[in-house]
Amino acid sequence: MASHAAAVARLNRLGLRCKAEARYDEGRAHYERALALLITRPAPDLDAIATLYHNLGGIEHARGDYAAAEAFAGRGVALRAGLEGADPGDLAADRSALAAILDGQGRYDEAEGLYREALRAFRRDPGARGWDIAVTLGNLGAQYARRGRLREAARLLRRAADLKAQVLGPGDPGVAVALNNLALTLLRMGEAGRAAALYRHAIGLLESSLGADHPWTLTCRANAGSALRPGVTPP
Amino acid sequence: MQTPQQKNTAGMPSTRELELARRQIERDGGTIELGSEELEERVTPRLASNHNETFLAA
Repeated sequence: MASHAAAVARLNRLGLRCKAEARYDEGRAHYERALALLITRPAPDLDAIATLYHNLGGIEHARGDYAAAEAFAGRGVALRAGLEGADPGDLAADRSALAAILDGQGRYDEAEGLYREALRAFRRDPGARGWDIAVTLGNLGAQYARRGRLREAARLLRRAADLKAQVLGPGDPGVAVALNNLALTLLRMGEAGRAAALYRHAIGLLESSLGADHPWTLTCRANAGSALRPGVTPP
Repeated sequence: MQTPQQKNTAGMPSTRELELARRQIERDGGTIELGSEELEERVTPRLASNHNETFLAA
């Protein structure tokens, strides 16, 4: 018989894996089972419940259902913010994740405020929060790219790519996310050759780590179409 | 490890959600049977959280 805590941890791991593999319904079911086990406890672990709300928001963000994502993620923030003794870095991660959801809805100013607040918290413990910093810088850069602030976007996305490669390893799909976003930004700046090289790198990383049919791989290939077409000379 | 303490009720599961969770566990066939020692256990091992990455499309 698995212990209660081990079952919750296992279900959470399965949910994380399902999200990475774009199996969203299955991932949500794992998280909901874990949540059911937690909230029916005589003395529920509210910190763990907040993390599951965070992760449920992440599944819906990945699926593109931003209203559902915001409801879960907002609840996670509210719950953890109300816990005396909660890890400030975890609360910052909740806020950064919520910011990405607001970004998806075009609520850029709200999102930027949360990103910056989260970055201030992460930078108090940069050794433990390198991945969080990289993702938050990358998402802020992507937002700037959407808003046409291309030079600032390129600078942040380059930093995000470098930091992810350092923290996660150069073959991690997270590096490819930053490279895809940087390539798109450079293409809009008229730097088609540099963009083409970054797209090739990103596609290679995504195919080897997530597979040819993963939504990120397909989007990156579609993005690359204009940069890689005949007539564009890579550097 | 110190368990975080609750300061307010924001984000807390409601009574209805609690009932739905019990039904969920029943639907799952009560796969998790709890012994008395486990009922005393209050802290779940620290759960990993995911990142929400923005992936731009042209």
